[in-house]
Amino acid sequence: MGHQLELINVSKLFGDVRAVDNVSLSIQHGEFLTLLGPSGSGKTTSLNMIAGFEIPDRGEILLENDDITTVAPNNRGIGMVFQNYALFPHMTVSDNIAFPLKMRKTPGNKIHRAVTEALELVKLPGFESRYPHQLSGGQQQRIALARAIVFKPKILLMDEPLGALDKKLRDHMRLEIKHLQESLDITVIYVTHDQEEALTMSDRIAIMNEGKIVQLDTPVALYETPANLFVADFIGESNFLKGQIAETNGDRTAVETEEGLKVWVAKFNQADAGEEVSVAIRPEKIQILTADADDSNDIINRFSGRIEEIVYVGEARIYRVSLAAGIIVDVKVQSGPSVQNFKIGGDITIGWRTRHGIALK
Amino acid sequence: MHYKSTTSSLWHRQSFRQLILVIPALLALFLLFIYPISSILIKSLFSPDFTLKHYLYFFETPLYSRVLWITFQISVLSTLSALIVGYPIAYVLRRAKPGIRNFFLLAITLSFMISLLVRNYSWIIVLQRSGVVNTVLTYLGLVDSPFKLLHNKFGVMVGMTHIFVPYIVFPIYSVMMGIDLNLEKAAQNLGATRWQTFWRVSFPLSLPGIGAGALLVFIMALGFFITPALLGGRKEQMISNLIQIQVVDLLNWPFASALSVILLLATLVVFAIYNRYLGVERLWGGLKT
Amino acid sequence: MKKKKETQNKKGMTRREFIVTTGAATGAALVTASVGPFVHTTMAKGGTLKVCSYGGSYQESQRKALIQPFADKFGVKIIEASGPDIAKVKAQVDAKSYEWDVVDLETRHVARGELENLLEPIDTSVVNLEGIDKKAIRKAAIGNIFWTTSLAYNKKALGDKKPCSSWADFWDVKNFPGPRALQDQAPFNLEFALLADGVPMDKVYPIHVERAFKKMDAIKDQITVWWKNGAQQIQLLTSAEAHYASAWNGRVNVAQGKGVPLEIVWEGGCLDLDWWAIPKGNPNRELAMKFINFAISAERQGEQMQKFIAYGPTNLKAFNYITPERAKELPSYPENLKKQFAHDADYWGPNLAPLTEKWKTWLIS
Repeated sequence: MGHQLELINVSKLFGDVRAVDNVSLSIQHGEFLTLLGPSGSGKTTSLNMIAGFEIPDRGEILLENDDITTVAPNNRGIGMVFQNYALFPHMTVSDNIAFPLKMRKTPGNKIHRAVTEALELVKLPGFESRYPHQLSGGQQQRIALARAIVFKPKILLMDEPLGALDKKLRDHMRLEIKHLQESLDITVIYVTHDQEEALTMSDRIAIMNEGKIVQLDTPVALYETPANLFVADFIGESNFLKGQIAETNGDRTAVETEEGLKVWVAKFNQADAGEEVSVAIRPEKIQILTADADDSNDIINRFSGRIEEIVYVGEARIYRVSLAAGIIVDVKVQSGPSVQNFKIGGDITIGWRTRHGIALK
Repeated sequence: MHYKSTTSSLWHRQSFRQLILVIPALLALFLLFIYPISSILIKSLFSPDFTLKHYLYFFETPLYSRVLWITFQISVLSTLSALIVGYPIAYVLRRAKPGIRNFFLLAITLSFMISLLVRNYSWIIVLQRSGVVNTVLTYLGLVDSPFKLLHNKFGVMVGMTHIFVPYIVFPIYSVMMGIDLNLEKAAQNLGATRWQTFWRVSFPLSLPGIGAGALLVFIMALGFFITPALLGGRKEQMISNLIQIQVVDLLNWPFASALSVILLLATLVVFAIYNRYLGVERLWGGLKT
Repeated sequence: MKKKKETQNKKGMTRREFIVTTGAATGAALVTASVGPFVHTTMAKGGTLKVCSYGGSYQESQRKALIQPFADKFGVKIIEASGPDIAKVKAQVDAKSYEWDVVDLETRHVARGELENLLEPIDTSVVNLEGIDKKAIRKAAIGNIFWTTSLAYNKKALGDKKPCSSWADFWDVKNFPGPRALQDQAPFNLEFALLADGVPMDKVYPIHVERAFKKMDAIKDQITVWWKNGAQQIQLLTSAEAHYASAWNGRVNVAQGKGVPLEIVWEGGCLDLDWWAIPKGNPNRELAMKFINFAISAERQGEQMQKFIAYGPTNLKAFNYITPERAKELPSYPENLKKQFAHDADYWGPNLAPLTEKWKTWLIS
């Protein structure tokens, strides 16, 4: 079985702006793929080209091996949920959901059944005769979803569908969408700028920046092994140390920072000695080392420093530590009964394993 | 206790202040609408004793109801014609780039400032037997003798459409601006062709603008007579022209008042029908929700 | 002499524009634009007088020949207004609040005003009627000009064809082909129809209505345009949209001055007047009478018609101040006068309402 949807070297220009720049992407059947990136990174334009609202200037789009690059939106059979739901305000819920079926000349009795089923699926049975303005934001969202799946599209596109909801409802809808996707076995391409949403829902995430896909991988891989500075910075929190490659020894590479600190990171072979790199270390990967911690003897990146600031964030504490050379790093320690009571101004030793330091160009 | 009394006096003070604020509006309403309309009504019914003779005269003399009927016909036709021309303009403007859109909105606004007479005479120059249209058609050999484009219903339609199009474009345009363009995308995404998208989504959602613009133009058209007089033929007679003759030449003010009241009532009937089906509040641009 | 005529003719004449425009929004704007209260601020020791006329070059001719000299001679401050009609006079008389002391009115408005007792009777002890044509004397108004509605044509448009020389020719579309225009109103047209039907000029009144409309039937569908205002008649003739039209002599004269090849046929023309009148009960009527007396004097009218406008003086002695060449162009020049008939305001006074209804009904049928 081949790819369900393929984008091959797709580009789109708006005036002089390269909104989408030579993007290639393959999506498998049943996959939940998210386009994640800051605003203006080209994710919505990509989605619009898949939906058919924009025609690429270059490249092609294949749906189940058929070239649909210039096929009209209404002939693509791709469902879409819009950011503000785009429910037809002059139609009832039932008419909204029936719309795609009517366009397909489905017989009336079948439409009726399909609408009822779709409403049950989104847990709003009995809402047939309401108008969109009589519904809450969450309810409108569900109706939009019901309308987008009622005609059993091959692919469902979702453009920031939860953007207008409050956090609680967003978290809840996230799970529901995921369940719906799995039970319907439908391919979803999801656009968001919310990394938490992306990380929790997606099978794979394409991180976009300035019209390009800068990394396409599973959530875990993106978080653990970002391929570049942008991804490391965009996903989660990182400490960044700037320096030059000093040496590579076996499975590790040494980087000497501008301040003269030598840190060992996972083997990096994309740069030669003397080249400028950045080292990214996640705050929660940095440990506070104490004499009695016997599992830390093998940590070679050890530095002493002083606690400058402590921030309590509920499930964790963040310690802002200044190292000897004037480098500041954040250390995130999970809250728990075993946490020692460090104070501001206290001297401590911190360290991290080689594999947790990632050199990036 | 003390607290309670201060709030209530504050309340009184506020309502008093609000009353003062609405007085100018009430005064304007009275001076500009209620007083003139009631004095016209009184003039039509008392001369000096109560009489219905002026209204009876209207119904006894076929001329007036026939001209009223012509007035309605011309008003309906010119409203439809203005809609047919104005709607696509509003539709395109809604989708135009801001620069182009502002240019055309300005152009339409400016056309309000050109005197009606100038616009009518311009059409005479364009449409007359020796006018631009006929000259070109004759030159191209498409016609042997000039078309009669003027001094008939066609000429009136052209002139009135030209004048009314801006009044149609603005209400429709402003309603269209309030419609999320994603709705059209959604319709296409759900399988609708462009044609289906227009008729099932864009058009029904723009209906309030159509209703408001059409009502505005229709009511204006009922009171029109310069354009029909200059561009029309002998049959394009308007009721307001007959009212003017009664006022200025015949000094028959009671009958002129009765004619005005009848025209007003006819207008109100149209307004009531509109309200019944589309709702007056839509006139002011809001979607009925 | 010729040169003088040309300078005079250059001035556009917007008089009677109001006929179609008053009452409508743009009409109001147009009138306001032409009104521009013109105040003569010469020493006001003689009092203040408010004069209303029809604006344009017509009122300008009055300003130069009548109003300013009066203001100068008697030290009167004169405030000018434009756009008169009898409805506005009635409004002022009813409210006893006078915007106008002297008003220039058309015949039908004077007749209506006399019927409704809206005009002050002329005080003949102040107004000297010596030399005034008797057609220009009414109980409550004195004629100030003669003007004519007559048959006019575009010479160039006719080419080699022989032009109409009477209303009978105008009705004869076989021998005198070409698009035609008449005014959309009963007065004048019914008279022209009777003339075309062979009724002699002195038997036109009282109008034989059935006969007149029957004759109108004969030409109804041959009339391409039913014109509504003075600008339109000249525009129709100038553009040859109509080869023949009924038209006002003053307008035709202006167009001729601009080089438009128009000709007027005095034969069968309807001679009409404009009038000076005073709204009933006006407290300033004494000064108003004095002004009228001054304005209708032979010398003043002579200067007005010689220099400023091609209408006919109502004071026959005014021809003493007018050159023979100029006199031939004026409606009340004796040679022209005998080819025309006089509009009968007293016939039209009570008949205007029913005949207007009949006219409009006929027109839309």
